[in-house]
Amino acid sequence: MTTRTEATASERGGSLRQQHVAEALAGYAFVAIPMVLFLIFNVGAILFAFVISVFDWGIRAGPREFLGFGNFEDALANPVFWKSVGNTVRYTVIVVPCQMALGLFLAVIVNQKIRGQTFFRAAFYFPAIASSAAITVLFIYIMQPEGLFNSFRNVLGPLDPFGALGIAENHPWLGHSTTALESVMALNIWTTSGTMMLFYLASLQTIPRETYEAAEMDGANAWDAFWRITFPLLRPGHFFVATISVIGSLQIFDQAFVAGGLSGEPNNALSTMVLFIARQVRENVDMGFAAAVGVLLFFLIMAVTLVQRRLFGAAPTWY
Amino acid sequence: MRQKLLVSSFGMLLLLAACAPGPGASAPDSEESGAPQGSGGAAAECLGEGTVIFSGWEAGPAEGDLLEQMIADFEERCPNITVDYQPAADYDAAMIANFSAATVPDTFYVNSTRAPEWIDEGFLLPLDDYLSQAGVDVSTFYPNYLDAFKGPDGQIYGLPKDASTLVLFYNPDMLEAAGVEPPTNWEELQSAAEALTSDDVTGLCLQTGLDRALAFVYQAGGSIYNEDFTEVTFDSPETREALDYYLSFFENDTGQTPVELGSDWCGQAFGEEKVAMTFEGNWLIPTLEDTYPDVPFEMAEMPQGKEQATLAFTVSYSIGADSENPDAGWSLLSYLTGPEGMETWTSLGLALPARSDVAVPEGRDALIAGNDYARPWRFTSGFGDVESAFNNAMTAAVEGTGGTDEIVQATSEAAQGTVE
Repeated sequence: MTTRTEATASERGGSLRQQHVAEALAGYAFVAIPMVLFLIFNVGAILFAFVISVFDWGIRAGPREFLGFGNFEDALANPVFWKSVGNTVRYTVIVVPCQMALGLFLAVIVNQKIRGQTFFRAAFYFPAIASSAAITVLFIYIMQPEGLFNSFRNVLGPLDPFGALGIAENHPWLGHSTTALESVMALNIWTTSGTMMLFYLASLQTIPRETYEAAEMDGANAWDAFWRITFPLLRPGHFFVATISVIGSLQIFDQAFVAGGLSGEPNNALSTMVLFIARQVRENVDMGFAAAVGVLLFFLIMAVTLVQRRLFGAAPTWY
Repeated sequence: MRQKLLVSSFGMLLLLAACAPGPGASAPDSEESGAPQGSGGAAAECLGEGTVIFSGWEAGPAEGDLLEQMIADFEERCPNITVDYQPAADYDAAMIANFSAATVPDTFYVNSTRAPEWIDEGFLLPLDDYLSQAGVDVSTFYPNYLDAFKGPDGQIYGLPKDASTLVLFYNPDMLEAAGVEPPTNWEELQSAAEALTSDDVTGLCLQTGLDRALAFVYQAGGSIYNEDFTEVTFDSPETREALDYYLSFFENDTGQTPVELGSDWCGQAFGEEKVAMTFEGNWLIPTLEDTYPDVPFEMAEMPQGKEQATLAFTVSYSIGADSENPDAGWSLLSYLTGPEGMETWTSLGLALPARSDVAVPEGRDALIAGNDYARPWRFTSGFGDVESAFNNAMTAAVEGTGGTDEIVQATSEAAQGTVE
């Protein structure tokens, strides 16, 4: 009897170990496919960009001359590069907090048990599904001198806040260098708020209901509950949303490209770092210089992400 | 990796050259007979065989019809060559990707502004061997246009497919109502713009781009570079005079940008009758005829400054250095840029011929007159930065946050970066 049990146990144990190994192998095999693609087309491409950035690199001829940090020096001495960096940073500093606040606000609202909850979730998410190029084209029409936005301002008449700021009633929002970037900011805050809402919504579900019940027993109102429970417990959510939002903002390209073309019109107001890189390749066919700017952007994003980790603590834990 | 690819494709070329009859090898009999043979056999200009991949940016419907007809005519003439027409959206970006992958169309468009980079980067095949073997007389092309596709080595890297100069477009009804004659010089242009400006209409639509303003710089006797692009000459009293003049239209509100007018470009503003005059090329005519058939328009040569000058825009057909079928690509190229092909292409007036032996569509006198004194819109590698620096500084000046000094400084600085 004992021997039999032992035999079965060891037998079972062996098969379990085998099963484990087989399972692990299958797991690695499945992971291997995307991993190899990731290593070649992401990590490999990034490393290759580092190589290109120290050469005078012809797109057809390959490396022509080793320049060391020459391309980087050229970039740092280029006024349009700095203008592009300035635009990108300004864009990020304004867009990220607005996106996060709006995303959180929408998430808290649609997280309530209200009638038509599903409809509102879908409606708020909708702009994120539409193609950014299509939305930008629409936006260009709205913001034209005789577009919908200015017509709306005319209806408001003396109540129009922009008129009070001295902005003409037929102001070309995207065509004037003082408002072009701000207009694209507004566009992007609107279109991406739905995505941010979705992330926050997922994060909101992780907060245990008992916490709220306990707070209610202690006499906390909804306002207190939000600021003392929801907001601090959303910390992993904040980190995730902030990281996604910052990276997306630093890489702003498509809306600026559709609205201002490759040269970042008007007056470089829509010149962003990625647009600057694209221009170096498409117009000047200068791969080394473009790669150098890409490397600088890489370090900028990495630095900002590290600072964020400091601010929000370690990597988020989802439970 | 790319090196290897290059070496192997070069090897392939050599092999091809060794196996296939070289350029002109099949020519002798027909050369003796003089005239090209009919559809019965391959004519003298049918070098190579197989498929030619032919690419360009997307054509409008009418242009597409003409292209199809030209391709059909060519295939009838050269029955052993088939044309695979593959137009590309976002053409420059698509072509850069093609060049880097070394899989390029055989025959394709090259915009004259892109020519310097594309030649320097070795994207294009020099055509001199083909030209001399086929005995093409390049002097029938207007030199302004042909020169745009000459490399620093003096070789020709493309033959112009069509061309247009800039002229003054004006609305004759508006001019008549204001009692003004079409302006012929700077003073007349200024007074005409003033007389034509009213509450509803602005006298002149002016773009902030260097591709318009440079005509005025040339008219004043200024320039961006010296002749061989080794020195920047932009900062001169002549340039400043031209820029002051150009900006004066914005200052006294007799000229507006398309942005201010709420149009995509000046051609549209002219069609919408928001302005009485603007500077455009032949490309505006089909737009006006199709989209704004009721808007009257006439053309005059560019008003004169100290000199008579205008800009010329052209596009070539070229062959890729990595083309797999350059011989057949050449056959197509030489047909398209030849008198027959170009006659078909320009027959509807959608484009103007780049060679002097092709008849010009009616009513294009002003555009053609410019061929004698136009300067090609073609500079040196890296010119995109110069154009962009100028355009941005000009936009700032129009918005009132800069002026001639800033434009001259920004443009000269950017241009300096292209001559070093």
